[in-house]
Amino acid sequence: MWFLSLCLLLLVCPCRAAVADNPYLQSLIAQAHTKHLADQPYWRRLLHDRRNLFGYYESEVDDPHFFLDSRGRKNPSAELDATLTAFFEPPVIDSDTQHPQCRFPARYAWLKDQLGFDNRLQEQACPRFEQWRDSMNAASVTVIFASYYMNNPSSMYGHSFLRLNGKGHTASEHLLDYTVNYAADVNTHNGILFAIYGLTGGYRGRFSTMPYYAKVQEYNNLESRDLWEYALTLDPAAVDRMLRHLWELGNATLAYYFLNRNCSYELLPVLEVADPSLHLIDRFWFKAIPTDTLRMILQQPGLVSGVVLRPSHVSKMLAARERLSPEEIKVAEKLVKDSDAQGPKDLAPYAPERKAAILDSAYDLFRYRTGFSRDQPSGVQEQDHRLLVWRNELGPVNVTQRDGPFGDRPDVSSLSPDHGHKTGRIGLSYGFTNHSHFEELSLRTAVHDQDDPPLGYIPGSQLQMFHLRMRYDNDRKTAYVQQFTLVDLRSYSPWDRWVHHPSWEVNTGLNVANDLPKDPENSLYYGLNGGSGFSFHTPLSRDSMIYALARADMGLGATFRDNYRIGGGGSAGLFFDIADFWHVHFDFADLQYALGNPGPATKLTVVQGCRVAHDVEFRATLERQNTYKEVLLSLLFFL
Amino acid sequence: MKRLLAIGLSAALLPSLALATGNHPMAGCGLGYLLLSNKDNEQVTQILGATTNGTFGTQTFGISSGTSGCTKDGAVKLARATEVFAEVNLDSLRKEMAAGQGEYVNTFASLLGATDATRPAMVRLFQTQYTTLFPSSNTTSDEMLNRVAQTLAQHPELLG
Repeated sequence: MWFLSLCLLLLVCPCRAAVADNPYLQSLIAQAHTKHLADQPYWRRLLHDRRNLFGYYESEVDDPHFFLDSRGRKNPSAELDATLTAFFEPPVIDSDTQHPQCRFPARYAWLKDQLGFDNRLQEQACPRFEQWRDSMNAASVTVIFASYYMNNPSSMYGHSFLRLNGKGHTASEHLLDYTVNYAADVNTHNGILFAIYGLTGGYRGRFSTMPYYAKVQEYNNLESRDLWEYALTLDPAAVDRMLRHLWELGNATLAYYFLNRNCSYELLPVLEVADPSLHLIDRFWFKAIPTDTLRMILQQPGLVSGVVLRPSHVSKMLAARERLSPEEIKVAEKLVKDSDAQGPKDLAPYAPERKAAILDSAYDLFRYRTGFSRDQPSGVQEQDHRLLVWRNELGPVNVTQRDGPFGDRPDVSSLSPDHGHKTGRIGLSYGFTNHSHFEELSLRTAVHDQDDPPLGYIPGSQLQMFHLRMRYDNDRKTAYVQQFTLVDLRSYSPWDRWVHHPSWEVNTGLNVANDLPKDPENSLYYGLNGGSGFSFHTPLSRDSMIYALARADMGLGATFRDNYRIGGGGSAGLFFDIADFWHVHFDFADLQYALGNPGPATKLTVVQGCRVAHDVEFRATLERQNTYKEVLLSLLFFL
Repeated sequence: MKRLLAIGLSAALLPSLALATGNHPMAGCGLGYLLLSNKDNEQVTQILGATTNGTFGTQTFGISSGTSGCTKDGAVKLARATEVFAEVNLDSLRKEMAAGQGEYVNTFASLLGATDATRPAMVRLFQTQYTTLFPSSNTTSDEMLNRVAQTLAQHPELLG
């Protein structure tokens, strides 16, 4: 038995020893040291090395499968030596296992170029990598940005992924292109666990490639999100480097953090490997919001050559409806409900092109209402089939091109999401109340409130995270916290006959109870607030809304008689734009606190915002709560 | 070449023909998750910012993830390309084949072997044969593909 083990040992060990002793390998390692290859920026990029908080280089990839040396994560030189050594390993026997040259094709190509490998290093065939690369068939790369969807303010963060445009694919064959997507492996649909794991790196992220059509179904249809396609000018050599490196990343999973190491951030190091002249990641430390990473890509001179919009199902549905007359809209709605097969009778008075338009819109509305999941009840399937057979019976009919979502606005590129204001905000304000005057400094991490410049965001929606407002009272010479909002969500979606959601809001954080007759530094409390109601368009301006919500509010704090208070009531308001740059918002809220610190809180707010530059707003806010009056003049900077 | 492709398609579909009712070879692909209903309408997931953001398919389509029913290392197996396309996009195809126009039906025609010259005619053929291709309200993608194969077998000129 021991004899057998010794034989086996002798078989394995000399192999390793032989590799390490190889004179050509030794000369390559020596050459690499002389040339300081391990310190080269490109080697660092291949390893995803970045200076951490302590100033040391460390790889952002924490999976041991990404490294050939156990110290590889923090030691680029050891990793380089180990990589060169691994390239000399003997050929693999079974076709599913990969030789190190094949697991790390980007490193192989770069080291070969830097050190000039000759035939003393046996170049291995890499069938799995090459087959995958041939399937990807990439000629160029496009960044795809999935925009927000109505009724979900959190989607204002957006999402981005890459599309590998297939060689020989025409503009109408992009559905077959492959995409590159970095996402977390999620094993729960429990919303709270999802948030906790996502924020603390509890999920592992990985790169996957799937056909674009799968993404279009998921985003355009299932989630009703517009897809904005930004074509990049990466040349074939850059595309080749990207594919090699993506294959390397396939070895590993990375720790996924919603806030900064997320879907959009991880695309940036991949683009930096493709094109070494790009510097994309430097600004992103504690937060990487997809719209910000998109803007970073767009800022690189000459990197983006154009943008194309692929509208969501809802966008197309509403745009097509604009081309129907009011009677035709009613016929379409009737067809959706029709379970007696009266359709052809209702359509009889119309010309074939109008019949087709009505049926197409009816089908749009029908699918929107039933949703895009596959397991529909049989009644729904029957109605689906009926509507399509009626459409089919019309034969070949010329229908107006239904792709543009914005009807008569041909240049949609000026509406693309990158035009929105930046996601961080700093505010410098001066204000006065009945009793004093003060300065205020406000800092907000993300993203948008109802009175910020609306371009690029959902009208009427609000998503604020970590918003701190600090004031200094000039008369009493005290500094205090006016507000620290943890999360503030508001979705006011205007009622539409086809697309209607209730309006709602939820927010939580520290607030000053200005409705109480106390000094602000003595009336800070922790609050949780929610509301539900409705909003409607008004004709005052394009995105103008009037709204009314029932509200409930709970506060915990020593400032209340019983250390807490609970109340309810409602709010109503109106906002509109006097001009493109001038926004006005009136809000009236009336809450009655029944428990803990009984009393009324009536609040009237008037906000006027003027956009003075792309990322600068001047805002005047008048507020009155019970007997408290305040005027606040602010200069807000988005960065 | 295109003829070979059509013959190949029919051959690939024979097993499904043999297994007839209740068979969903696509489910074996692990593509079931792609057909989930939209969970994000739930209020809680909205508030907490949970969106799908590409969580579907990270395992099956992971780069260098190995071989599964329909994929290899993150790419769809060439022999299964048409089946996968038809299954994932069945609803869009059902709508566009009825109307005889659209991006999905045109892409489908290309996958089946149509050239630039023959694609319009193939799409028109699908429209005229719609009720044959989608005979009932719950026609599956496999059934539809079988019928498409049979229909195309009678129109070899469409495959260039």
